[in-house]
Amino acid sequence: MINLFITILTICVSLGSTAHGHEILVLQSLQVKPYEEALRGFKSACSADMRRLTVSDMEGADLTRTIHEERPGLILAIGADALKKIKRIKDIPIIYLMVLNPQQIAGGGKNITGVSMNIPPEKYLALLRKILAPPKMVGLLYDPVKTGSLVKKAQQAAGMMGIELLAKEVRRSKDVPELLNGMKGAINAFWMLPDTTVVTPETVEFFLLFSQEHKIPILTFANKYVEMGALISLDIDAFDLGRQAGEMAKKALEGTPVRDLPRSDARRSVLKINRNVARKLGINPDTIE
Amino acid sequence: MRFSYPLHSLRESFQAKVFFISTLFVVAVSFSFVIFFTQHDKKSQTDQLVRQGELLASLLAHNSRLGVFAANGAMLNEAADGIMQHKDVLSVVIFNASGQLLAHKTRPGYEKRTGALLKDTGSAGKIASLAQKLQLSAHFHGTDTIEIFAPVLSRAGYTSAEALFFREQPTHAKDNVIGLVGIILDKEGLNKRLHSLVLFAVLIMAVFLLIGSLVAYLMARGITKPLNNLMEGVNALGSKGIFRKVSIETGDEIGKVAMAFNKMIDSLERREVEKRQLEEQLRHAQKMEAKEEWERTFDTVPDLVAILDREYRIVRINKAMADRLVISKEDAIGLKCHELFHGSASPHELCLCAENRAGGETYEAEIHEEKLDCYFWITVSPLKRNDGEVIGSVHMARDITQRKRAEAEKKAIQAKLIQTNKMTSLGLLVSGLAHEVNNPNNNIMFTAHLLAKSWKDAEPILDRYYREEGDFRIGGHLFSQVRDTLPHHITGITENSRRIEGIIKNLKNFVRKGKADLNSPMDVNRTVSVAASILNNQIRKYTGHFKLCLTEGLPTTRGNPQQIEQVVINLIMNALQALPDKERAVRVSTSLDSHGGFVIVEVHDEGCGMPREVRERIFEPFFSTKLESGGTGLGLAISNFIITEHKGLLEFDSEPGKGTTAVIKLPLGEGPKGSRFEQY
Repeated sequence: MINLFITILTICVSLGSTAHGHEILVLQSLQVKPYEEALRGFKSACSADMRRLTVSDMEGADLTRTIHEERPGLILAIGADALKKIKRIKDIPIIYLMVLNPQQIAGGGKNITGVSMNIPPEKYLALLRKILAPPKMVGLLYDPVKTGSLVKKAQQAAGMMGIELLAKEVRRSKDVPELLNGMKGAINAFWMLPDTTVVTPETVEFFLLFSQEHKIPILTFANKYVEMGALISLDIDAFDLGRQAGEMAKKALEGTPVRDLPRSDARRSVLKINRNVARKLGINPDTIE
Repeated sequence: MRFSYPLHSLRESFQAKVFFISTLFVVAVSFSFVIFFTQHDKKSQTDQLVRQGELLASLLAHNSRLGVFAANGAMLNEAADGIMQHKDVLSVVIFNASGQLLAHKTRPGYEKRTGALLKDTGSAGKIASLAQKLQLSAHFHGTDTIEIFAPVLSRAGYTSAEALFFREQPTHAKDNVIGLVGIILDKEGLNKRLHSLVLFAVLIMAVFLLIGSLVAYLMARGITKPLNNLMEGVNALGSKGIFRKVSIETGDEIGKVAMAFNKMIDSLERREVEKRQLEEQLRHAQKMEAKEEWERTFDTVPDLVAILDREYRIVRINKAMADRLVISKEDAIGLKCHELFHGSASPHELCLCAENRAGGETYEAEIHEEKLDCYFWITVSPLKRNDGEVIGSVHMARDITQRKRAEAEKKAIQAKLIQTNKMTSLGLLVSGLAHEVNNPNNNIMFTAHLLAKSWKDAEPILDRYYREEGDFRIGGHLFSQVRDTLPHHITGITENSRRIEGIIKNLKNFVRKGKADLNSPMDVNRTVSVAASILNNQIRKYTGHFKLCLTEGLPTTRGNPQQIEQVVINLIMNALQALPDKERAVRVSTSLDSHGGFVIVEVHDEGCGMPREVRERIFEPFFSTKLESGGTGLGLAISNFIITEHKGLLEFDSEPGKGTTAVIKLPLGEGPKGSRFEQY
């Protein structure tokens, strides 16, 4: 309620100052730490005048109209929700940030560019290759609707890197334990993909239990799972992502048309190893690093 | 009934009340405590069991989350076995969200009891509905079991793929219910614990009751002790008037009351002392006043009062006594009463009599005090102490001299009246008698005269016959004897007749005396001399020492010289007849008492004198000591009458053996002019 009040107040103030107009309107899905970190990175690269709005605080408000009244030079959408809200705006350049699989949201909008959270599967495969002794059988579960394209890419790359992927489709989360148990003995590593059908609080627990029980290392995409018991992760660097987008925005503001600024993936990833798990699995973490 | 008094006193006892109230309070507190404690602990234990069950259910729900999520029977059995290890758990059931039973474990032997659970829970739809309704857990109490259900929750899935990267989850994310677990807990252990708890509480209560009663008793004693002290003090003051302070042991209200009471006692004591002093002063003043009043009264009493101790020493005399004895009151103190009053060395017989009387009663007597020549009516009363011991005597003397004299006068007047009455009677008697006696007496005298003449004529004849014929008898007697005696007899008849005539004459004179002239000039010396000369023969007959002392120059008085002469003759004759022998003297003297206005004639003899009894009666007619020797008892009566008629006095001073003095006092001046007895 207080937040709503503050937002309305903010809008009023911004309406009052429409004559000046902010260069960048930051539209943030949530106020979470990685988004803040990304914004901080963005600001480090782009020092333009900014005004920030949070989608979660503006429930019920006509965001499109607000943005049009604001008339910013550029919109920075942090998070998938923010991007979904403004994807119909065509007359203002939009840069997305912290969005996984932006293609599924933004389609081919000409005024939209940005930096995705996707880390190229090759980087994961390279890491797997590094830590796995042959035969390098890596299991993965995926919902074809959500991460089908990624798996396809991965399978292509794996073939080239001498890694065999045992990929099984998952339609319902509750099927995950059974499918995973089915992989028992057939894989010597499991690759956890950022798929909301596969990864739920229960399945994560199950993955970790499975990993411990059968001494199968898990490669995952976020540091928090390493802390929970996965062996290793290749996570994004939110600050650097922000910076990457900031640079892009700076160019856009400087006059570079958005269509000339190609959509890109995270240029940098962060590796994290759970040394305790590594020890239990009999892997020397130093060799990984 | 035997106990009614103690019970009553217990009811009235403040200590008992405090004790009972405190004990009741302790009992109430104990019961309340026990009830509260048991109830609270029962609830607490039940709650604990329920909490434990809820914890176990939550744990089971958590542990079976993956099992339910994956519908994996093995995982669920494993989770259920873990819970079943808890001793209170009888049964475990696990359902999925649609109400399908996924796992069911029951402790051997409890199948029947736990079977009810499945029966109760009923259909899968009900289970599913319950699972959806439950937020945390729910429990149901059976008779000896508790059924606890907990939902199996699955955390909310990630809303976006990006969220998979974040640690933080959106706040609106809601957990999903994916199943339901239920456990049955045995209440047996709980009941056992509750039983032992109740026993323990009762034991505690008993101990608390004991201690509480003891404390209540001590407290009641502690409270009432100062009250009792105070009450004793108040009672001592109220019933016995004792000013007893109470000890102050506490500083509380009772202590303050005790302090106030002590102050009151102090104040009362002071007032009592002041009151006593005032009373003492008042008593002293009253005593002094009473003493003064008493002394005034004592001195005002006209009677002579003396207070003596047991040794007859004077302790106090009143003013009347002091005045009479001409001594100051102070000087009289300590003197012996008999020395002061009677001038004797030994106690007066009156005192001795008074002392000897048994019982110490009041003794009364009349005495004649020679020293003062007064008559006193003496009252001797014993003076006693409060214990009855006689410590002295009170002598009260009332001067009755005047009264005595008045009485004497009264007596004399009475006697005189009697005398007058007698005289009157005698006059009447004599008037009648004289006539009645005179006639036969004259006849006798005349007959005697005739008889004498006859005898004188007959005697020579009879004598001659005697001489001729010899002796013969006349009237039974021999003539020779009669011849000598008869003349004497005839003479005797004549003399006696004359004597009767004389008496009659005297009597007639006595009654007719008033008619005599009492106003004639009278020379007393001459009258006395005539009387003496008339009696010349008789004087010589009775004494050889007759002396007539006439004072020359006596004034002439008025009266009847013959009557006075008769009186003097009478007195001289009495004097002469009183002489035992001729050696004794009779002296007749005349004198003048110019102060009293009397001419005095004294006839003094040295005769036998008169005793008092005689002296008091000498003027009574017909009283005589000489009736045998021919006295008539009329002499002094007539003499006194004559002198009284002359307004004079006839007095006698006589003592037996010392002679008698008769004194005639004839008034000078006018003298008698008549008599009241003229009519006679």
